[in-house]
Amino acid sequence: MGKAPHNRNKGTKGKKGFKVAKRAHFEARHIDQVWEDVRKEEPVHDGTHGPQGTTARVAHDEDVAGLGQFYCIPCSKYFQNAFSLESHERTKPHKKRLKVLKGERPHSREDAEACGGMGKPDNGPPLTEEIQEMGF
Amino acid sequence: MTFVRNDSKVFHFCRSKCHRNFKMKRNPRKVAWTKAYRRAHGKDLTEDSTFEFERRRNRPEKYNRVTVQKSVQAMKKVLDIRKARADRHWDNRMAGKKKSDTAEARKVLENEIHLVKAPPAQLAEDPEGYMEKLKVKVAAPQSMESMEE
Ligand SMILES: [Zn+2]
Repeated sequence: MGKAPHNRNKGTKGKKGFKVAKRAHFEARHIDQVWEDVRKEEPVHDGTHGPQGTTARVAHDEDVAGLGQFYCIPCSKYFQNAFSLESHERTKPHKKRLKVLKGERPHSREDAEACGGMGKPDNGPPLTEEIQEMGF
Repeated sequence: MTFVRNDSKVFHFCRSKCHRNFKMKRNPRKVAWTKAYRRAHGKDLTEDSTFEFERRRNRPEKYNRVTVQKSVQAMKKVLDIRKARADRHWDNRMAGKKKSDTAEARKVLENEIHLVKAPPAQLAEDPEGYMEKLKVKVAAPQSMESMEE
C-alpha cells in the first residue's frame, strides 16, 4: 500500500516547522478544560463567542475557520461548514476523544500537590465571621 | 519553572523535563517516572494523615516566635513518621516477592537443566528419574489425542 493521494507531490510547500506545529498542538484547549466544557450546563460556544485557544470566552474574528460558527466542543476545533463538522464527528479521533472525556477527571494541579505529599490548600476561616466578631 | 495558562491556572514544574512533557500534553498518570503514576498504581504511600500538615496557606499566619519553633520541631517528627510508614508500605508491597522469586528460579532450573548438565550425564547420574521425565513428555500428547477422539 502506497501513500494516500493527498500526500503526494507536496514537497515542502504545506509543511510547518516542528516548533510551529508543536505550539499549535499545545495552545489548543487542554484536556482538563475540555473535560469541564463537556459537562457545563450552558454551552461554552455560541455563534459570536467561543472558547478559542485556551482563553475562556473570546469574540470570534475573521481568522477563525467558518467565522467560528461550527465548533466541536470535545475536540475544541473549528470547522469551515456544517458538513465538515458532521463528517468530523464520524471520525475515529473524535470518537476516541469522547471516550477519554467520559472517564475520570484528568490530572490537575490539586492532584499534583497531593502527589507531592501536600494536603488541600488552607484558605483560613471565612472572612465574614471575623468581621462580625470585630463588631463591624 | 512556572507556567500561567490564560485561564489563570498556575502550573509549577520542578525541572525542564517535566515542562517538556507537559508541553507534549502527556498524561502524568501514564508516565512511569512521575509521582502521579506511582500513586495511581499503588507504588507509593497514599491517603496518609502525615500529608495533612504541609499545605498551601492562602491566608498566612501572623509571625510568632513560639509557633515557628514548634513547627520546626514538628516538621522533623512528621517526616520521621512519614518515612516509617512509607517503609512499612514498601515492606508490605514486597512481602511475597522473595517467595515468588525463588519459586520462579526453581522452575527455570528444572525446565532448563540441560543447559547446565548434559543429558548423558543426567542419565548416568539418575537413570530412573531421567526416564521418568521423558515418559511424562511423551505421555502428554497421547492423552490429548485420546481426548480429541
Ligand atoms: Zn470532535
